[in-house]
Amino acid sequence: MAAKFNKILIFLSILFGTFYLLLLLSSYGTVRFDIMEIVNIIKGDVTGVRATLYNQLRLPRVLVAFLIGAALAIAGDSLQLTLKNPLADPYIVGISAGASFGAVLSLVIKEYFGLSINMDFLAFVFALISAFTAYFISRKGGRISVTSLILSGVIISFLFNAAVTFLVVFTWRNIISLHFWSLGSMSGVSWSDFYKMLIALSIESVIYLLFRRKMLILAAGEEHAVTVGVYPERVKTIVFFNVAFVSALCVSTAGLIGFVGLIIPHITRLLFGTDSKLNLISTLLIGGIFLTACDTLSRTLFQPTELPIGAVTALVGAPFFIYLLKRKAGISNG
Amino acid sequence: MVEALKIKDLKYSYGEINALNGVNLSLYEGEILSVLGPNGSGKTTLLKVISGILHNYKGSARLYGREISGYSIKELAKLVSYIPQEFSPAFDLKCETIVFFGRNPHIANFKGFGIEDYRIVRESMDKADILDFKDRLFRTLSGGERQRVIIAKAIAQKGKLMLLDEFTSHLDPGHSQKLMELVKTMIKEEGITAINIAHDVNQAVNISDRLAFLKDGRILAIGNAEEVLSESLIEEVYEARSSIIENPLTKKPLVVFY
Repeated sequence: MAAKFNKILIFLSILFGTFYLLLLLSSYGTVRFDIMEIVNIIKGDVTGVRATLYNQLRLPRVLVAFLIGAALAIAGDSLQLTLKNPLADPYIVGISAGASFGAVLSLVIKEYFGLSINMDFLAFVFALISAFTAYFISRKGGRISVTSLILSGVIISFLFNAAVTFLVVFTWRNIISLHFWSLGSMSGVSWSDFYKMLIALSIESVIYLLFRRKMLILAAGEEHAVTVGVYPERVKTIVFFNVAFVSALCVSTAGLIGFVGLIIPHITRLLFGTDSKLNLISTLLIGGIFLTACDTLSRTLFQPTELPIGAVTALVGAPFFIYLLKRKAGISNG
Repeated sequence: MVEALKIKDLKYSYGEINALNGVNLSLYEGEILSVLGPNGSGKTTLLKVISGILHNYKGSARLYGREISGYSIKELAKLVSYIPQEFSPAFDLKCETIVFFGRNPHIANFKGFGIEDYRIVRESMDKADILDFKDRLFRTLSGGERQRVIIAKAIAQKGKLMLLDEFTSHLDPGHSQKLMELVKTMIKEEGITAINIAHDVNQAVNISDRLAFLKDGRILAIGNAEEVLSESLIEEVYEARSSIIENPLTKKPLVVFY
Protein backbone atom coordinates (compact mmCIF):
# COMPACT_ATOMS: atom_id res chain seq x y z
CA MET A 1 0.00 0.00 0.00
CA ALA A 2 2.83 2.36 0.99
CA ALA A 3 4.65 1.48 -2.22
CA LYS A 4 1.57 2.33 -4.29
CA PHE A 5 1.18 5.64 -2.44
CA ASN A 6 4.85 6.46 -3.09
CA LYS A 7 4.41 5.76 -6.80
CA ILE A 8 1.39 8.04 -7.00
CA LEU A 9 3.36 10.72 -5.17
CA ILE A 10 6.27 10.38 -7.60
CA PHE A 11 3.85 10.48 -10.53
CA LEU A 12 2.19 13.66 -9.26
CA SER A 13 5.62 15.25 -8.71
CA ILE A 14 6.54 14.43 -12.31
CA LEU A 15 3.20 15.75 -13.57
CA PHE A 16 3.38 19.10 -11.79
CA GLY A 17 7.16 19.30 -12.05
CA THR A 18 6.81 19.08 -15.84
CA PHE A 19 4.67 22.21 -16.04
CA TYR A 20 6.99 24.14 -13.77
CA LEU A 21 10.13 22.96 -15.58
CA LEU A 22 8.64 23.84 -18.95
CA LEU A 23 8.09 27.40 -17.74
CA LEU A 24 11.53 27.55 -16.14
CA LEU A 25 13.43 26.09 -19.10
CA SER A 26 11.64 28.40 -21.51
CA SER A 27 13.03 31.36 -19.56
CA TYR A 28 16.66 30.56 -20.49
CA GLY A 29 18.26 31.60 -23.75
CA THR A 30 19.99 34.49 -25.45
CA VAL A 31 17.08 36.57 -24.23
CA ARG A 32 16.23 35.84 -20.56
CA PHE A 33 12.68 35.99 -19.25
CA ASP A 34 11.60 35.72 -15.67
CA ILE A 35 8.83 33.34 -14.67
CA MET A 36 6.29 36.05 -13.81
CA GLU A 37 6.92 37.74 -17.14
CA ILE A 38 6.29 34.44 -18.92
CA VAL A 39 3.05 33.91 -17.00
CA ASN A 40 1.92 37.41 -17.98
CA ILE A 41 2.88 36.85 -21.64
CA ILE A 42 0.94 33.59 -21.74
CA LYS A 43 -2.07 35.28 -20.09
CA GLY A 44 -1.83 38.02 -22.75
CA ASP A 45 -1.22 40.79 -20.21
CA VAL A 46 2.10 41.76 -21.79
CA THR A 47 2.61 42.61 -25.45
CA GLY A 48 5.52 43.99 -27.46
CA VAL A 49 8.76 42.66 -28.89
CA ARG A 50 9.63 40.44 -25.92
CA ALA A 51 6.17 38.91 -25.90
CA THR A 52 6.36 38.24 -29.65
CA LEU A 53 9.83 36.77 -29.22
CA TYR A 54 8.56 34.44 -26.54
CA ASN A 55 5.32 33.49 -28.30
CA GLN A 56 6.73 33.00 -31.79
CA LEU A 57 10.20 31.64 -31.13
CA ARG A 58 10.83 30.46 -27.60
CA LEU A 59 7.50 28.84 -26.74
CA PRO A 60 7.08 26.77 -29.94
CA ARG A 61 10.70 25.65 -29.68
CA VAL A 62 10.32 24.49 -26.09
CA LEU A 63 7.02 22.76 -26.81
CA VAL A 64 8.27 21.05 -29.98
CA ALA A 65 11.35 19.81 -28.07
CA PHE A 66 8.97 18.48 -25.43
CA LEU A 67 6.77 16.70 -27.98
CA ILE A 68 9.73 15.19 -29.85
CA GLY A 69 11.29 13.98 -26.59
CA ALA A 70 7.98 12.44 -25.56
CA ALA A 71 7.43 10.80 -28.96
CA LEU A 72 10.95 9.33 -29.09
CA ALA A 73 10.70 8.01 -25.53
CA ILE A 74 7.43 6.18 -26.27
CA ALA A 75 8.90 4.86 -29.53
CA GLY A 76 11.90 3.49 -27.58
CA ASP A 77 9.66 1.82 -25.02
CA SER A 78 7.53 0.21 -27.74
CA LEU A 79 10.61 -1.14 -29.53
CA GLN A 80 12.23 -2.44 -26.36
CA LEU A 81 9.13 -4.35 -25.30
CA THR A 82 8.26 -5.70 -28.73
CA LEU A 83 11.78 -6.82 -29.58
CA LYS A 84 12.42 -8.04 -26.03
CA ASN A 85 15.55 -5.97 -26.14
CA PRO A 86 16.49 -3.38 -23.49
CA LEU A 87 18.84 -1.57 -25.87
CA ALA A 88 16.39 -0.96 -28.72
CA ASP A 89 15.69 2.65 -29.70
CA PRO A 90 14.85 4.30 -33.06
CA TYR A 91 18.35 5.79 -33.25
CA ILE A 92 20.30 2.65 -32.33
CA VAL A 93 18.22 0.38 -34.57
CA GLY A 94 18.92 2.71 -37.52
CA ILE A 95 15.34 3.90 -38.04
CA SER A 96 16.26 7.55 -37.48
CA ALA A 97 19.16 7.34 -39.96
CA GLY A 98 16.78 5.92 -42.56
CA ALA A 99 14.31 8.74 -41.87
CA SER A 100 17.11 11.27 -42.16
CA PHE A 101 18.08 9.89 -45.57
CA GLY A 102 14.45 10.04 -46.74
CA ALA A 103 14.14 13.66 -45.62
CA VAL A 104 17.35 14.73 -47.37
CA LEU A 105 16.39 12.77 -50.47
CA SER A 106 13.11 14.68 -50.73
CA LEU A 107 15.10 17.96 -50.62
CA VAL A 108 17.49 16.74 -53.31
CA ILE A 109 14.69 15.54 -55.58
CA LYS A 110 13.04 18.93 -55.23
CA GLU A 111 16.27 20.81 -55.92
CA TYR A 112 17.41 18.71 -58.88
CA PHE A 113 14.28 17.39 -60.47
CA GLY A 114 11.74 19.96 -59.34
CA LEU A 115 9.58 17.15 -58.00
CA SER A 116 7.89 17.84 -54.72
CA ILE A 117 7.59 14.72 -52.59
CA ASN A 118 6.44 15.31 -49.04
CA MET A 119 9.49 15.21 -46.77
CA ASP A 120 7.67 13.53 -43.90
CA PHE A 121 6.35 10.85 -46.22
CA LEU A 122 9.73 9.99 -47.72
CA ALA A 123 11.33 10.03 -44.26
CA PHE A 124 8.61 7.60 -43.15
CA VAL A 125 9.21 5.26 -46.10
CA PHE A 126 12.95 5.04 -45.41
CA ALA A 127 12.40 4.75 -41.66
CA LEU A 128 10.23 1.70 -42.38
CA ILE A 129 12.80 0.25 -44.76
CA SER A 130 15.55 0.57 -42.15
CA ALA A 131 13.32 -0.83 -39.37
CA PHE A 132 12.50 -4.00 -41.29
CA THR A 133 16.05 -4.34 -42.62
CA ALA A 134 17.50 -4.17 -39.10
CA TYR A 135 14.90 -6.65 -37.95
CA PHE A 136 15.58 -9.22 -40.65
CA ILE A 137 19.36 -8.87 -40.47
CA SER A 138 19.43 -9.38 -36.71
CA ARG A 139 16.83 -12.15 -36.48
CA LYS A 140 18.36 -15.59 -36.27
CA GLY A 141 16.51 -18.74 -35.30
CA GLY A 142 13.43 -16.82 -34.28
CA ARG A 143 15.15 -14.50 -31.85
CA ILE A 144 16.92 -11.19 -31.94
CA SER A 145 19.97 -11.00 -29.75
CA VAL A 146 21.00 -7.71 -28.17
CA THR A 147 24.31 -7.56 -29.98
CA SER A 148 23.08 -8.51 -33.45
CA LEU A 149 20.37 -5.85 -33.29
CA ILE A 150 22.93 -3.21 -32.30
CA LEU A 151 25.35 -4.33 -34.99
CA SER A 152 22.73 -4.28 -37.73
CA GLY A 153 21.57 -0.88 -36.46
CA VAL A 154 25.16 0.41 -36.62
CA ILE A 155 25.57 -0.86 -40.17
CA ILE A 156 22.27 0.60 -41.33
CA SER A 157 23.08 3.92 -39.65
CA PHE A 158 26.52 3.96 -41.30
CA LEU A 159 24.97 3.26 -44.66
CA PHE A 160 22.25 5.91 -44.46
CA ASN A 161 24.51 8.50 -42.81
CA ALA A 162 27.06 8.00 -45.60
CA ALA A 163 24.26 8.38 -48.15
CA VAL A 164 23.10 11.59 -46.42
CA THR A 165 26.65 12.97 -46.46
CA PHE A 166 26.94 12.11 -50.12
CA LEU A 167 23.65 13.80 -50.99
CA VAL A 168 24.32 16.93 -48.92
CA VAL A 169 27.84 17.48 -50.24
CA PHE A 170 26.84 16.58 -53.80
CA THR A 171 23.86 18.92 -53.81
CA TRP A 172 24.85 21.92 -51.77
CA ARG A 173 28.64 21.54 -51.77
CA ASN A 174 28.81 22.39 -48.07
CA ILE A 175 28.80 20.36 -44.93
CA ILE A 176 27.23 22.87 -42.55
CA SER A 177 23.74 21.56 -43.15
CA LEU A 178 25.05 18.08 -42.36
CA HIS A 179 25.07 19.12 -38.70
CA PHE A 180 21.31 19.40 -38.75
CA TRP A 181 20.80 15.93 -40.23
CA SER A 182 23.44 14.15 -38.21
CA LEU A 183 23.17 15.82 -34.80
CA GLY A 184 19.80 17.53 -34.77
CA SER A 185 18.67 21.03 -33.94
CA MET A 186 15.55 22.71 -32.65
CA SER A 187 16.32 26.08 -34.17
CA GLY A 188 13.79 27.26 -36.68
CA VAL A 189 10.86 25.18 -35.46
CA SER A 190 7.48 26.85 -35.65
CA TRP A 191 3.92 26.47 -34.42
CA SER A 192 3.10 24.35 -37.47
CA ASP A 193 5.76 21.87 -36.30
CA PHE A 194 4.08 21.93 -32.90
CA TYR A 195 0.69 20.96 -34.33
CA LYS A 196 2.25 18.30 -36.54
CA MET A 197 4.10 16.74 -33.60
CA LEU A 198 1.07 17.04 -31.33
CA ILE A 199 -1.00 14.98 -33.79
CA ALA A 200 1.86 12.49 -34.24
CA LEU A 201 2.30 12.04 -30.48
CA SER A 202 -1.45 11.59 -30.00
CA ILE A 203 -1.65 8.89 -32.68
CA GLU A 204 1.46 7.19 -31.30
CA SER A 205 0.08 7.22 -27.74
CA VAL A 206 -3.29 5.77 -28.80
CA ILE A 207 -1.59 2.92 -30.69
CA TYR A 208 0.71 2.35 -27.70
CA LEU A 209 -2.27 2.12 -25.36
CA LEU A 210 -4.17 -0.23 -27.66
CA PHE A 211 -1.21 -2.56 -27.98
CA ARG A 212 0.34 -2.17 -24.52
CA ARG A 213 -0.85 -5.52 -23.22
CA LYS A 214 0.30 -7.33 -26.35
CA MET A 215 3.70 -5.61 -26.22
CA LEU A 216 4.13 -6.74 -22.60
CA ILE A 217 3.19 -10.29 -23.63
CA LEU A 218 5.78 -10.15 -26.43
CA ALA A 219 8.40 -8.94 -23.94
CA ALA A 220 8.04 -12.38 -22.36
CA GLY A 221 8.91 -14.13 -25.64
CA GLU A 222 7.38 -14.78 -29.04
CA GLU A 223 6.51 -18.43 -28.43
CA HIS A 224 4.86 -17.45 -25.18
CA ALA A 225 2.86 -14.81 -27.06
CA VAL A 226 1.47 -17.44 -29.45
CA THR A 227 0.36 -19.64 -26.56
CA VAL A 228 -1.75 -16.82 -25.12
CA GLY A 229 -3.30 -15.86 -28.43
CA VAL A 230 -1.06 -13.05 -29.72
CA TYR A 231 0.30 -12.98 -33.29
CA PRO A 232 3.89 -11.69 -32.80
CA GLU A 233 4.37 -10.63 -36.43
CA ARG A 234 1.20 -8.53 -36.47
CA VAL A 235 2.11 -6.67 -33.29
CA LYS A 236 5.67 -6.10 -34.50
CA THR A 237 4.48 -4.76 -37.84
CA ILE A 238 2.13 -2.29 -36.18
CA VAL A 239 4.79 -1.20 -33.69
CA PHE A 240 7.36 -0.76 -36.49
CA PHE A 241 4.91 1.37 -38.48
CA ASN A 242 4.13 3.43 -35.41
CA VAL A 243 7.79 3.95 -34.49
CA ALA A 244 8.80 4.67 -38.10
CA PHE A 245 5.96 7.19 -38.39
CA VAL A 246 6.91 9.24 -35.32
CA SER A 247 10.64 8.91 -35.90
CA ALA A 248 10.19 10.21 -39.45
CA LEU A 249 8.29 13.26 -38.23
CA CYS A 250 10.81 13.88 -35.43
CA VAL A 251 13.74 13.66 -37.85
CA SER A 252 12.19 15.84 -40.54
CA THR A 253 11.41 18.43 -37.85
CA ALA A 254 14.61 18.43 -35.82
CA GLY A 255 17.13 16.09 -37.46
CA LEU A 256 18.79 13.10 -35.83
CA ILE A 257 18.45 12.97 -32.06
CA GLY A 258 19.63 9.83 -30.39
CA PHE A 259 19.37 8.04 -27.04
CA VAL A 260 16.11 9.62 -25.78
CA GLY A 261 14.20 6.46 -26.66
CA LEU A 262 16.86 4.37 -24.96
CA ILE A 263 17.22 6.17 -21.63
CA ILE A 264 13.73 7.33 -20.72
CA PRO A 265 11.87 3.98 -20.74
CA HIS A 266 14.48 2.60 -18.32
CA ILE A 267 14.03 5.54 -15.98
CA THR A 268 10.26 5.08 -16.04
CA ARG A 269 10.59 1.35 -15.37
CA LEU A 270 12.92 2.08 -12.49
CA LEU A 271 10.36 4.45 -10.97
CA PHE A 272 7.11 2.59 -11.63
CA GLY A 273 7.93 -0.93 -12.91
CA THR A 274 7.52 -2.34 -16.42
CA ASP A 275 3.82 -3.10 -16.10
CA SER A 276 2.55 0.06 -14.38
CA LYS A 277 -0.45 1.85 -15.84
CA LEU A 278 1.36 5.12 -15.12
CA ASN A 279 4.10 4.26 -17.64
CA LEU A 280 2.78 5.89 -20.79
CA ILE A 281 2.17 9.30 -19.21
CA SER A 282 5.40 9.27 -17.22
CA THR A 283 7.49 8.15 -20.21
CA LEU A 284 5.87 10.93 -22.20
CA LEU A 285 6.48 13.59 -19.52
CA ILE A 286 10.03 12.55 -18.59
CA GLY A 287 11.02 12.17 -22.26
CA GLY A 288 9.58 15.57 -23.03
CA ILE A 289 11.31 17.32 -20.16
CA PHE A 290 14.59 15.52 -20.85
CA LEU A 291 14.77 16.75 -24.43
CA THR A 292 13.58 20.24 -23.45
CA ALA A 293 16.40 20.38 -20.89
CA CYS A 294 18.91 19.14 -23.50
CA ASP A 295 17.68 21.82 -25.92
CA THR A 296 18.01 24.47 -23.22
CA LEU A 297 21.60 23.38 -22.65
CA SER A 298 22.30 23.34 -26.38
CA ARG A 299 21.13 26.91 -26.85
CA THR A 300 22.59 28.41 -23.67
CA LEU A 301 25.88 26.64 -23.05
CA PHE A 302 27.88 28.47 -25.73
CA GLN A 303 25.44 31.21 -26.60
CA PRO A 304 24.99 32.83 -29.01
CA THR A 305 26.35 29.72 -30.80
CA GLU A 306 24.18 26.64 -30.54
CA LEU A 307 25.43 23.21 -29.67
CA PRO A 308 23.67 20.51 -31.76
CA ILE A 309 21.06 18.90 -29.50
CA GLY A 310 22.06 15.38 -30.57
CA ALA A 311 25.52 16.03 -29.09
CA VAL A 312 23.95 16.83 -25.72
CA THR A 313 21.68 13.74 -25.71
CA ALA A 314 24.64 11.59 -26.80
CA LEU A 315 26.77 12.90 -23.93
CA VAL A 316 24.14 11.66 -21.49
CA GLY A 317 23.02 8.66 -23.52
CA ALA A 318 26.28 7.01 -24.49
CA PRO A 319 27.47 6.31 -20.92
CA PHE A 320 23.96 5.10 -20.09
CA PHE A 321 24.07 2.78 -23.11
CA ILE A 322 27.38 1.29 -21.94
CA TYR A 323 25.96 0.80 -18.45
CA LEU A 324 22.91 -1.04 -19.85
CA LEU A 325 25.03 -3.13 -22.18
CA LYS A 326 27.17 -4.30 -19.27
CA ARG A 327 24.21 -4.87 -16.97
CA LYS A 328 21.54 -6.30 -19.29
CA ALA A 329 23.38 -8.11 -22.05
CA GLY A 330 23.85 -11.18 -19.90
CA ILE A 331 20.15 -11.47 -19.24
CA SER A 332 18.69 -10.92 -22.67
CA ASN A 333 21.40 -12.36 -24.80
CA GLY A 334 21.17 -15.73 -23.11
CA MET B 1 -14.72 -41.36 -23.59
CA VAL B 2 -14.44 -38.15 -25.59
CA GLU B 3 -11.39 -37.98 -27.80
CA ALA B 4 -9.70 -34.63 -27.09
CA LEU B 5 -6.82 -35.00 -29.50
CA LYS B 6 -6.19 -37.32 -32.42
CA ILE B 7 -2.83 -37.24 -34.16
CA LYS B 8 -2.32 -39.24 -37.35
CA ASP B 9 0.93 -39.58 -39.24
CA LEU B 10 2.17 -36.21 -37.95
CA LYS B 11 5.39 -34.99 -39.53
CA TYR B 12 7.41 -31.86 -38.89
CA SER B 13 10.85 -30.87 -40.06
CA TYR B 14 13.23 -28.00 -39.37
CA GLY B 15 14.65 -27.56 -42.84
CA GLU B 16 16.45 -30.80 -43.61
CA ILE B 17 16.09 -32.21 -40.12
CA ASN B 18 13.00 -34.32 -39.52
CA ALA B 19 11.83 -33.84 -35.94
CA LEU B 20 8.56 -35.78 -36.19
CA ASN B 21 8.40 -38.79 -38.51
CA GLY B 22 4.77 -39.87 -38.49
CA VAL B 23 3.46 -39.67 -34.93
CA ASN B 24 0.14 -41.38 -34.15
CA LEU B 25 -1.62 -40.95 -30.84
CA SER B 26 -5.01 -40.33 -29.28
CA LEU B 27 -5.70 -38.48 -26.09
CA TYR B 28 -8.93 -38.83 -24.16
CA GLU B 29 -10.59 -36.10 -22.16
CA GLY B 30 -9.47 -35.95 -18.52
CA GLU B 31 -6.37 -38.15 -18.89
CA ILE B 32 -2.73 -37.30 -18.28
CA LEU B 33 -0.37 -38.64 -20.93
CA SER B 34 3.35 -38.41 -20.26
CA VAL B 35 5.60 -38.35 -23.31
CA LEU B 36 9.10 -39.65 -22.65
CA GLY B 37 12.15 -39.99 -24.81
CA PRO B 38 15.79 -39.01 -25.15
CA ASN B 39 16.94 -35.49 -26.00
CA GLY B 40 16.13 -34.60 -29.60
CA SER B 41 13.41 -37.24 -29.93
CA GLY B 42 10.78 -34.65 -30.94
CA LYS B 43 8.92 -34.23 -27.64
CA THR B 44 9.00 -30.44 -27.53
CA THR B 45 8.29 -30.22 -31.28
CA LEU B 46 5.13 -32.26 -30.69
CA LEU B 47 3.96 -29.83 -27.99
CA LYS B 48 4.81 -26.84 -30.17
CA VAL B 49 2.68 -28.20 -33.01
CA ILE B 50 -0.26 -28.82 -30.67
CA SER B 51 0.04 -25.36 -29.11
CA GLY B 52 0.17 -23.61 -32.50
CA ILE B 53 3.75 -22.32 -32.11
CA LEU B 54 4.82 -24.45 -35.09
CA HIS B 55 2.51 -24.65 -38.06
CA ASN B 56 3.13 -26.06 -41.56
CA TYR B 57 3.08 -29.58 -40.20
CA LYS B 58 2.18 -32.56 -42.35
CA GLY B 59 -0.35 -35.21 -41.46
CA SER B 60 -3.25 -34.58 -39.17
CA ALA B 61 -3.61 -33.20 -35.65
CA ARG B 62 -7.24 -32.77 -34.67
CA LEU B 63 -8.21 -31.07 -31.43
CA TYR B 64 -11.82 -31.71 -30.45
CA GLY B 65 -12.52 -32.86 -33.98
CA ARG B 66 -11.03 -29.85 -35.72
CA GLU B 67 -7.64 -29.61 -37.41
CA ILE B 68 -5.24 -27.51 -35.29
CA SER B 69 -4.12 -25.47 -38.30
CA GLY B 70 -7.76 -24.47 -38.79
CA TYR B 71 -7.92 -22.70 -35.43
CA SER B 72 -6.93 -19.06 -35.07
CA ILE B 73 -4.15 -18.49 -32.51
CA LYS B 74 -6.68 -16.97 -30.14
CA GLU B 75 -9.19 -19.82 -30.47
CA LEU B 76 -6.39 -22.31 -29.88
CA ALA B 77 -5.15 -20.40 -26.82
CA LYS B 78 -8.64 -20.67 -25.31
CA LEU B 79 -8.36 -24.45 -25.51
CA VAL B 80 -4.66 -25.11 -24.94
CA SER B 81 -2.40 -23.76 -22.21
CA TYR B 82 1.34 -24.31 -22.31
CA ILE B 83 3.77 -24.50 -19.42
CA PRO B 84 7.30 -24.18 -20.79
CA GLN B 85 10.58 -25.38 -19.34
CA GLU B 86 11.67 -21.85 -18.79
CA PHE B 87 9.94 -18.50 -18.79
CA SER B 88 12.21 -15.50 -18.96
CA PRO B 89 10.68 -12.10 -19.63
CA ALA B 90 13.20 -9.47 -20.76
CA PHE B 91 11.92 -6.96 -18.22
CA ASP B 92 10.87 -7.17 -14.60
CA LEU B 93 7.19 -8.03 -14.47
CA LYS B 94 4.97 -8.46 -11.45
CA CYS B 95 3.68 -11.99 -10.88
CA GLU B 96 0.08 -10.80 -11.13
CA THR B 97 0.77 -9.29 -14.56
CA ILE B 98 2.06 -12.64 -15.79
CA VAL B 99 -1.01 -14.47 -14.49
CA PHE B 100 -3.19 -11.90 -16.27
CA PHE B 101 -1.48 -12.84 -19.57
CA GLY B 102 -3.45 -16.08 -19.29
CA ARG B 103 -6.68 -14.12 -19.71
CA ASN B 104 -5.57 -12.57 -23.00
CA PRO B 105 -7.28 -15.16 -25.26
CA HIS B 106 -10.59 -14.39 -23.59
CA ILE B 107 -10.40 -10.61 -24.04
CA ALA B 108 -11.75 -8.92 -27.16
CA ASN B 109 -9.20 -6.85 -29.09
CA PHE B 110 -8.51 -3.44 -27.55
CA LYS B 111 -10.64 -4.21 -24.48
CA GLY B 112 -9.45 -4.24 -20.89
CA PHE B 113 -9.89 -6.93 -18.25
CA GLY B 114 -13.33 -7.29 -16.69
CA ILE B 115 -14.47 -8.18 -13.17
CA GLU B 116 -14.68 -11.85 -14.16
CA ASP B 117 -11.04 -11.80 -15.30
CA TYR B 118 -9.95 -10.32 -11.97
CA ARG B 119 -11.92 -13.01 -10.13
CA ILE B 120 -10.41 -15.82 -12.23
CA VAL B 121 -6.87 -14.46 -11.81
CA ARG B 122 -7.28 -14.22 -8.05
CA GLU B 123 -8.75 -17.71 -7.87
CA SER B 124 -5.90 -19.11 -10.02
CA MET B 125 -3.25 -17.46 -7.86
CA ASP B 126 -4.97 -18.87 -4.79
CA LYS B 127 -4.97 -22.40 -6.25
CA ALA B 128 -1.27 -22.16 -7.15
CA ASP B 129 -0.60 -20.67 -3.72
CA ILE B 130 1.05 -17.50 -4.95
CA LEU B 131 -1.35 -14.88 -3.59
CA ASP B 132 1.25 -13.79 -1.05
CA PHE B 133 3.70 -12.68 -3.70
CA LYS B 134 1.38 -11.43 -6.43
CA ASP B 135 2.98 -7.97 -6.31
CA ARG B 136 6.56 -9.25 -6.25
CA LEU B 137 8.77 -9.12 -9.30
CA PHE B 138 9.07 -12.42 -11.16
CA ARG B 139 12.88 -12.41 -11.20
CA THR B 140 13.03 -12.14 -7.40
CA LEU B 141 11.32 -15.53 -6.99
CA SER B 142 12.92 -18.96 -6.61
CA GLY B 143 12.67 -21.54 -9.43
CA GLY B 144 9.76 -23.37 -7.78
CA GLU B 145 7.86 -20.14 -7.09
CA ARG B 146 8.35 -19.02 -10.69
CA GLN B 147 6.88 -22.25 -12.02
CA ARG B 148 3.90 -21.82 -9.68
CA VAL B 149 3.29 -18.40 -11.24
CA ILE B 150 3.33 -19.99 -14.70
CA ILE B 151 0.95 -22.70 -13.48
CA ALA B 152 -1.38 -19.98 -12.16
CA LYS B 153 -1.24 -18.34 -15.59
CA ALA B 154 -2.14 -21.63 -17.24
CA ILE B 155 -5.08 -22.13 -14.84
CA ALA B 156 -6.30 -18.59 -15.52
CA GLN B 157 -6.21 -19.40 -19.22
CA LYS B 158 -8.94 -22.01 -18.59
CA GLY B 159 -7.73 -24.27 -21.38
CA LYS B 160 -9.14 -27.78 -21.71
CA LEU B 161 -5.75 -29.19 -22.67
CA MET B 162 -2.62 -28.41 -20.65
CA LEU B 163 0.82 -28.97 -22.14
CA LEU B 164 3.65 -29.36 -19.64
CA ASP B 165 7.14 -29.22 -21.13
CA GLU B 166 9.63 -30.63 -18.60
CA PHE B 167 8.46 -27.88 -16.32
CA THR B 168 10.16 -29.26 -13.22
CA SER B 169 13.49 -30.06 -14.85
CA HIS B 170 15.28 -27.12 -13.20
CA LEU B 171 14.06 -27.98 -9.73
CA ASP B 172 15.43 -30.15 -6.95
CA PRO B 173 13.53 -33.41 -6.22
CA GLY B 174 11.61 -31.89 -3.29
CA HIS B 175 10.28 -28.89 -5.20
CA SER B 176 9.75 -31.00 -8.30
CA GLN B 177 7.60 -33.49 -6.38
CA LYS B 178 5.51 -30.80 -4.68
CA LEU B 179 4.89 -29.03 -7.97
CA MET B 180 3.94 -32.26 -9.71
CA GLU B 181 1.45 -33.08 -6.96
CA LEU B 182 -0.01 -29.59 -7.18
CA VAL B 183 -0.44 -29.87 -10.95
CA LYS B 184 -1.87 -33.38 -10.79
CA THR B 185 -4.46 -32.37 -8.19
CA MET B 186 -5.42 -29.32 -10.22
CA ILE B 187 -5.69 -31.22 -13.47
CA LYS B 188 -7.96 -33.79 -11.88
CA GLU B 189 -10.05 -31.19 -10.02
CA GLU B 190 -10.61 -29.08 -13.11
CA GLY B 191 -11.15 -32.06 -15.39
CA ILE B 192 -8.28 -30.93 -17.64
CA THR B 193 -6.57 -33.20 -20.17
CA ALA B 194 -2.77 -33.00 -20.09
CA ILE B 195 0.31 -33.95 -22.03
CA ASN B 196 3.37 -34.00 -19.81
CA ILE B 197 6.84 -34.10 -21.33
CA ALA B 198 9.11 -35.76 -18.82
CA HIS B 199 12.61 -37.06 -18.32
CA ASP B 200 11.99 -38.81 -15.03
CA VAL B 201 10.28 -42.11 -15.91
CA ASN B 202 9.26 -42.90 -12.34
CA GLN B 203 7.74 -39.49 -11.73
CA ALA B 204 5.84 -39.90 -15.02
CA VAL B 205 4.54 -43.30 -13.90
CA ASN B 206 3.25 -41.75 -10.67
CA ILE B 207 1.33 -38.87 -12.18
CA SER B 208 0.15 -40.23 -15.55
CA ASP B 209 -2.71 -42.36 -16.78
CA ARG B 210 -0.69 -43.45 -19.82
CA LEU B 211 2.88 -43.18 -21.08
CA ALA B 212 4.15 -42.67 -24.62
CA PHE B 213 7.77 -43.29 -25.63
CA LEU B 214 9.11 -41.21 -28.48
CA LYS B 215 12.36 -41.73 -30.34
CA ASP B 216 13.60 -40.22 -33.61
CA GLY B 217 10.21 -38.57 -34.10
CA ARG B 218 8.20 -41.82 -33.79
CA ILE B 219 6.11 -43.30 -31.01
CA LEU B 220 7.71 -46.61 -29.96
CA ALA B 221 5.13 -47.57 -27.35
CA ILE B 222 2.01 -46.09 -25.80
CA GLY B 223 -0.22 -47.37 -23.02
CA ASN B 224 -0.42 -47.57 -19.23
CA ALA B 225 2.79 -48.14 -17.29
CA GLU B 226 2.09 -51.79 -16.48
CA GLU B 227 1.50 -52.58 -20.16
CA VAL B 228 4.35 -50.77 -21.83
CA LEU B 229 7.27 -50.61 -19.42
CA SER B 230 9.93 -53.21 -20.05
CA GLU B 231 13.71 -53.37 -19.77
CA SER B 232 14.00 -53.84 -23.52
CA LEU B 233 11.91 -50.72 -24.21
CA ILE B 234 14.06 -48.65 -21.84
CA GLU B 235 17.15 -50.03 -23.56
CA GLU B 236 15.72 -49.16 -26.99
CA VAL B 237 14.63 -45.65 -26.01
CA TYR B 238 17.47 -44.50 -23.76
CA GLU B 239 20.22 -46.99 -24.55
CA ALA B 240 20.49 -47.54 -20.80
CA ARG B 241 20.44 -50.68 -18.66
CA SER B 242 17.58 -50.96 -16.21
CA SER B 243 15.58 -53.31 -14.11
CA ILE B 244 11.85 -52.89 -13.53
CA ILE B 245 10.53 -53.77 -10.09
CA GLU B 246 7.32 -53.07 -8.23
CA ASN B 247 7.27 -49.84 -6.27
CA PRO B 248 6.62 -51.05 -2.70
CA LEU B 249 4.59 -47.93 -1.86
CA THR B 250 2.48 -47.33 -4.97
CA LYS B 251 2.52 -50.89 -6.36
CA LYS B 252 3.28 -49.36 -9.76
CA PRO B 253 6.33 -50.27 -11.88
CA LEU B 254 9.59 -48.68 -10.76
CA VAL B 255 12.47 -48.36 -13.19
CA VAL B 256 15.89 -48.76 -11.59
CA PHE B 257 18.77 -47.70 -13.81
CA TYR B 258 22.10 -49.35 -13.16
